[in-house]
Amino acid sequence: MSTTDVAVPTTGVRTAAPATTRPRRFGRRVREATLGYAMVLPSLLIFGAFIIYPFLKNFYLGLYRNPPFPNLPKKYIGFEQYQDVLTSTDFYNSVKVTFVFALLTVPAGIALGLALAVLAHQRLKGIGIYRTIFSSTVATSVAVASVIFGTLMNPLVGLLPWLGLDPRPPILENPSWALTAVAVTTIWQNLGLSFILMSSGLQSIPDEMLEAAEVDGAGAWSRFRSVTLPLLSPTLFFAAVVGTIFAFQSFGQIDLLTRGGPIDRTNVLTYFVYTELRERNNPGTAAVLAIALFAITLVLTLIQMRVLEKRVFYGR
Amino acid sequence: MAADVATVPQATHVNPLSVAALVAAVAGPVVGVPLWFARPMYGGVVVLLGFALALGFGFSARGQIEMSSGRETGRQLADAAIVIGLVEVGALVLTALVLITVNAVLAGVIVTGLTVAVLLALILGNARLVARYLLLTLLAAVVLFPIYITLVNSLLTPEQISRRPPSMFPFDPQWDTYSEAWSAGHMATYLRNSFIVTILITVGQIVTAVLAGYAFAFLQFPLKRTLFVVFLSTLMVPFEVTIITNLQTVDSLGWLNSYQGLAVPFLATGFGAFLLRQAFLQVPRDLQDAAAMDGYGHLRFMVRVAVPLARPAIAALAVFGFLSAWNQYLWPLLVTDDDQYRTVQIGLKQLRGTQLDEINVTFAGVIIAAVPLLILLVFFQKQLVRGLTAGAVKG
Amino acid sequence: MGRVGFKGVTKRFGDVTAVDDLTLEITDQEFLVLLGPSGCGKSTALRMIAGLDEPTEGVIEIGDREVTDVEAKDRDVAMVFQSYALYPHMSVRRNIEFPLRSRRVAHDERDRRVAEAAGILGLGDLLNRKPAQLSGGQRQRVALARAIVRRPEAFLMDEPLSNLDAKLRVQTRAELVELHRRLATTIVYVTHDQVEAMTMGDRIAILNEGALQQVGAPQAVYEKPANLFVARFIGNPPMNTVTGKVLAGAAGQVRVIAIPGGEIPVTEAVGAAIARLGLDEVIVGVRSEHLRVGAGGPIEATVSVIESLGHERHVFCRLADGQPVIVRQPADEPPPPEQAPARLTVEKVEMVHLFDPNTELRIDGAQ
Repeated sequence: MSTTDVAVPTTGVRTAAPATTRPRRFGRRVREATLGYAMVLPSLLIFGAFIIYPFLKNFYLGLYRNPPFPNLPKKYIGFEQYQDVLTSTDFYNSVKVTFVFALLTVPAGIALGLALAVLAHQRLKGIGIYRTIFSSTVATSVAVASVIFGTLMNPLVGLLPWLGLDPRPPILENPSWALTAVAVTTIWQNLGLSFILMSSGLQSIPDEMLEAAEVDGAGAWSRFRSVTLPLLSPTLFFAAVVGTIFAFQSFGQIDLLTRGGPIDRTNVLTYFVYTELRERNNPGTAAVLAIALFAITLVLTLIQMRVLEKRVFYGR
Repeated sequence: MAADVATVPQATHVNPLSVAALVAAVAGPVVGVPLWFARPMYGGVVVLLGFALALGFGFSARGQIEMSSGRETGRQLADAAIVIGLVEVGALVLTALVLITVNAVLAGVIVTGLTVAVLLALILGNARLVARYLLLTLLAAVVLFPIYITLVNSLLTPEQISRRPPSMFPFDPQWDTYSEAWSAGHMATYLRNSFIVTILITVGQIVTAVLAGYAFAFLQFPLKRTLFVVFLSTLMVPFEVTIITNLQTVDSLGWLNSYQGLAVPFLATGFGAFLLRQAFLQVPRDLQDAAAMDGYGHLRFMVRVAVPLARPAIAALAVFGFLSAWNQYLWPLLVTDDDQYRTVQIGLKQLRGTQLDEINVTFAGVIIAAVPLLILLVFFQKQLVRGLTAGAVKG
Repeated sequence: MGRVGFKGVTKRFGDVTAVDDLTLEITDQEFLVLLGPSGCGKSTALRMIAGLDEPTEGVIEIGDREVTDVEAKDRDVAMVFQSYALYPHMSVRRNIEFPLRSRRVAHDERDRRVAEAAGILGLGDLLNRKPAQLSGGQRQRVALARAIVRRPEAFLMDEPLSNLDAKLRVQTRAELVELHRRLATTIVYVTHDQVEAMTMGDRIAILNEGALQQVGAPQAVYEKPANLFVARFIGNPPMNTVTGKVLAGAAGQVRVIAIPGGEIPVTEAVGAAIARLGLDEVIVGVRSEHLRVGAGGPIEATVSVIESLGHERHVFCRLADGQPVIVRQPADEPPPPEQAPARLTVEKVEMVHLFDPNTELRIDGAQ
């Protein structure tokens, strides 16, 4: 049981005076800090180059008007462009379409997800299979959903026109139907996510609470209304706010189904940014629109934080 | 009390729900069937609504009349509505069965058999239980229908697809469609690109998130809190807001039509760093002290102890990152115009533009694009759920 | 050589002084117990030996080198944590060999040492289990094995028994003492449990609010507590303490202290010490086993409650002014009637402890 097996030099390392020890402790701290910065650096580089810098540059880009033809110098016009874009009817229409789109998709998506979650929240044999099916649409991308629904609504081969939903002009080119059609596609695609969120919310409600209500003689509907819904309200708020933010960033379904049309009826903000940038080659206007998109998202995020604070308050 | 009320002479009245039930029961077929011939969908909805309301109102009316202790009449009306409603359901099911059998004998036999089995189960077995399964199955069918019909159509010829009434089952599957989508539709290239980019992004996100999360959880350095706030605030900037300059940056780096152009902007996420910091904070402090005494510095402790213990969070981040990277649409659309570098999602856009005589290839392309994620869902459902709800739970 | 030395060590966390100017010498192969209430700085002291905390001032030595600025891994000490700090994702074998892997011990040597440590602690059958599959006692032994396998100069143990149930704790106490003999290595053992300290330690060092109160063999600390804190902290039930008035005789000599309801005698030497200090009041301490309760005696009291422990009784009494006093009575003596007056006697004059009420230090007649 010798204690000298581990090779540690035991002579000649006696440090002379405590004064010399300070730099060494300091050195350890510097080493730790250096390691810390080195570990944060990769993320920070990406964020700096692809989030922070482009975000800030939008404000600068918005100050310049792009020439009508390429290869001419862009022109500094100050806040004139902000004013032009933000007061234009196109912008107003786009914001309106975006909000209507969010209103069409978010409440319906949450309600359907909740309904499925409540139905799947019972002890039955094989319920796992139903849960997998109900969450299956998370595995579909926006593009997959859009192509599937695009063909379902196709006037020549689609099933919906055959079933009688056959307006003229066809659904996706019909000013009064197009946005609804895009919304239905989005609701289906997000159904899985909504179901998963609602299910995990339901699972966090202790069974005893529902059992207590049952003992008190509450029926199924009144149990749902007076116990489940209030306890689920944090999840519902969260889903509403995050869902709205998602809705504000929808792009693929618009590009694949309607390309912003007919007559700008589906021209949501993201698609507006895209067309200004890509088709009209106008980064200045696109930048102003992007800032507006950010501002709206920020307000929604702040609301989210409020809601989350509330969550914590009556969470436990 | 009840006796008192009953003895008081009181005007009785007809329960309004029973009237409504009867009206719905009659109006359903009267309005719905003629409409069916003009517009099948609207007709169907009216018939369905008719008997659903007839049964729903009928049963509630019966309950209300029983509880009114003689003040409400209309029992016969409600009963009539229920009977008519049931007859309508029967007729509808029968018609459907006959229609299916006429179109396709095999399918008809199967569906009839299933219907009879369900009816028998309802009558003989635990009706409540059977009803629950019936409802769940019905909803599952509705949710799955778009994917199912796409799968069916991908195995039909274009002529069969446009035939009316539509085929609901591929009796003569055209597997060639898939090889056509695979090679002629470039799905093989698109899939390969998607896999490369998605794996680059997922691995990159895990590496950067593990490093940053570890630093925020275990190391002390000046400005740590400020940097953490910076990380969190990146979550507030939607990617769509940054595309204008990012496109210029990637262009000036010569990264248009390249894997690095597709992947590099997404190699780090504030969400991942946050998720892993939270996971690392769960690692007991004593373990780090013990490892320090056992001769393990930060890096080796991270690899040998902290990362294995944070595996659930890493798995959640991996699945979440995979899902969002695979489904990216706007960015790949912006930075690629060469088939050599386009991803599956953009490939679908190409396919969507194809002619009707090749629509089966489009359907096959959709299935090819969806399958990897469906597999991911089946095998990693737990991790996926954890990743998707992490924001909600950690809040 | 496994000696450990603190020289004027102070540790401050912000405004809080956790350890205050600690000087303590722990000799090679000693089993030293750092004892104190929670928050007294004993764990911080241990962590400073380990190298997990840095002293704000002062010097720490292990063996013949100063280690104040040596990294934890280079100090050649092993630690057993209160939580055991086992790596949950590794098997018992991997846990035990973990410290050897970092030190690049050769494969054969590693296996030999793991087998040896597992043999000593009876873990041979459990090597392939995960910590979650072990009982509390087994986990504790894995933690010990992980420390042993390194063959360090000193073992540091931070309340290693506090997560075990009472029965297992008694058994493990004896096993640890045996292990200490077998390994013949220094052990610095932190606990708040005085029974552990008394039964296991070669010496006990008692800390309170960061300051060292007393160091000594368990029996010596018990018999001659250096101050009021130690007197009250060591012993169960705690020592009875009462403030008493000094009654000086005609020639100025002190032989008795007046307490409510009676008088307590003191030895000549102690009396002289009190007189030398010129105190009017002193704190009198008498351990419960040195008091007798019965029909006769110099001190009036009332018996309130009697707790029987089988082999003995704790008789809770109240003095004339209501102050509580506990008397320990062997089971074979007749119990006094409850809720009735009784009289108390101090068994031996030498067993009376006296403390200066101002400094709270022991007044000793020896000097």
